[in-house]
Amino acid sequence: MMTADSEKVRFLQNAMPFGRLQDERVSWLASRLEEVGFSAGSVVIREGERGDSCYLVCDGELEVVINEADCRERTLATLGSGALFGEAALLHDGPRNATVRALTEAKLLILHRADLLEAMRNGPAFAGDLLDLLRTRDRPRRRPGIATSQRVSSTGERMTILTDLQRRVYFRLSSQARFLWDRMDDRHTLRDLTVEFLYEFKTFSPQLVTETVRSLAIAGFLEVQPLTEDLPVSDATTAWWQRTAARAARILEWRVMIRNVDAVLTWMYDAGISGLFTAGGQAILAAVAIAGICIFCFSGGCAIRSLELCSDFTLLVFLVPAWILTVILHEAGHAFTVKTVGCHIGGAGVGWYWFSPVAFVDTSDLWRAERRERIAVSIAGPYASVLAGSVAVLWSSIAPNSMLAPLLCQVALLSYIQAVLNLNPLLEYDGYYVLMDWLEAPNLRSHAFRTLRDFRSWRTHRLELVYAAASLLYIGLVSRLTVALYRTHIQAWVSHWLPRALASGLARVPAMVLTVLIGFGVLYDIQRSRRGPHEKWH
Amino acid sequence: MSRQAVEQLIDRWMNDPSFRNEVRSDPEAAVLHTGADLTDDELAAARSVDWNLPGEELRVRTNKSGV
Repeated sequence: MMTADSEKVRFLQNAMPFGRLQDERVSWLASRLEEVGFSAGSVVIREGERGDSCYLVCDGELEVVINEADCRERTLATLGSGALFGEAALLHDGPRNATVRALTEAKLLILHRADLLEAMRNGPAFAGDLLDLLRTRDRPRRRPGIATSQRVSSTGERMTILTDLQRRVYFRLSSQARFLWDRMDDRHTLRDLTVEFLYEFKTFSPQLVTETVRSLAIAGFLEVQPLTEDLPVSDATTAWWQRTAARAARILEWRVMIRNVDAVLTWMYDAGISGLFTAGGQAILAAVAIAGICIFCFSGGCAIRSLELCSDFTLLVFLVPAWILTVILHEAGHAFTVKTVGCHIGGAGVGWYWFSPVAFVDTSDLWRAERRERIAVSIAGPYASVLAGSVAVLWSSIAPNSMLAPLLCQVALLSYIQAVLNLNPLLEYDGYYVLMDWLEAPNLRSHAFRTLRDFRSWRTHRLELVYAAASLLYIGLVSRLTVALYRTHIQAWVSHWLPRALASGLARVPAMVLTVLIGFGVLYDIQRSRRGPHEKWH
Repeated sequence: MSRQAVEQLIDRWMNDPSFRNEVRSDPEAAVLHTGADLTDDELAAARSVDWNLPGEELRVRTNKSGV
């Protein structure tokens, strides 16, 4: 018998996860434990019943069993000294999910729910380990309403794309992960999955199995039992700078989106726009694009010279609407190309992205498409911008002496610049998606920043490292330019009403705000690339 | 190594954070240290731990046009 509290303390200190508690908390917990004995064959907890205690095995051997649909029992695990069981019902506020029966005479320590929760409140590390233990004992179950589609990568690897049709969330599975996914049926524990994985792929990879289940659970593809509301919910694990970085990122990537645009776009596509995607239609568009570029180049920078002919008012009245039109055409280029590959448009909207306002279409459904189709959609936007510019050039060349000609030249210049800038791969513009799809490296940016954090992987992930460094350098340079530009313009504007010194001081404020925002935005990008305990599974 | 021995190894991995760390730094040595009797194939399985995640959530794609 383990009667003295000091013996219980020693036992707890060596039992996972209680060893993570501070000494005084272990002593307190030891004083709350009750010792109880069970004879061989007796049931300690029964599946389906409710309970308010969990148990720590001091001595003896017990088996964990569940009842199958055909009323037969299946043994999930055998427990020995130091093992904890019965905690799932307490942490989920649900019935027992398995029966535990003594195989030999057993001595157990009973820990009541209120004491367990109190210990978790006072020991975050203990609480974390206990939740980890809970997760590893899960029997993961796929959520209903998940569609699967297969595709083969350029390297010949067979992949599965999971689509949550309701939330429009996508998940990529390798053939190994697909093997696991097919077995997430509420019957297989993580241990079962690891064993079957070992026999199938000849690798001992409990970490890989756990991480796959964890990622699927976090992404919402598995049914996850909620934790009890009595559990201490603490935001203390998130540092102030992480919360600030997340807020900065929300500002830097602010957006408003209209979701239900797919039906209208599909109707427009079917009503006639599909004609542009025939061989004849594409030949005409290509001829227009090339002719426009040639005329623009041979005209010797008409757009720059025409600047002198346009007043600020004319530029504002004509160029702003024309610019908005070219942006709409750019996004329409993406959207209608998505329709040619039979995918769904998740929405369209406007917002802010790092340094400037943006318009966008949500093309996430393309994850189901082939690589060349995804690249085609990303290129279609800049191509539409080139077409808009070329149409403007051709129009101005038909009537070179009209009032509109210099303005059309301006539109052409802006459209061509827009096409080139959107091919920049260092932020998430069209060029980034082209690069990512060409390399078959989904989430390239996250992977790159994750590589940057982990110097051990620098040697094996050079591409990601180069991308992360180039992206950070680019953000740094453009930040510097943007801040200087904003400051100069604001100062010039404010100095109409205020003394020069005051105007200069005032102009520094938004510049500083932007600098801080961008700094925290970069931190957020690096922070969110981490795959780790900050993500909540339960 | 029997299935039961494999299961015990996995149980140890799930319940013992220090064993998890050992497996991460040197999987073969960590597994051998438990006293498990391994065949050549099983040793190879312990060695060939794959740390690359075989699945991941795909982030939202938004084709943007900077203004």
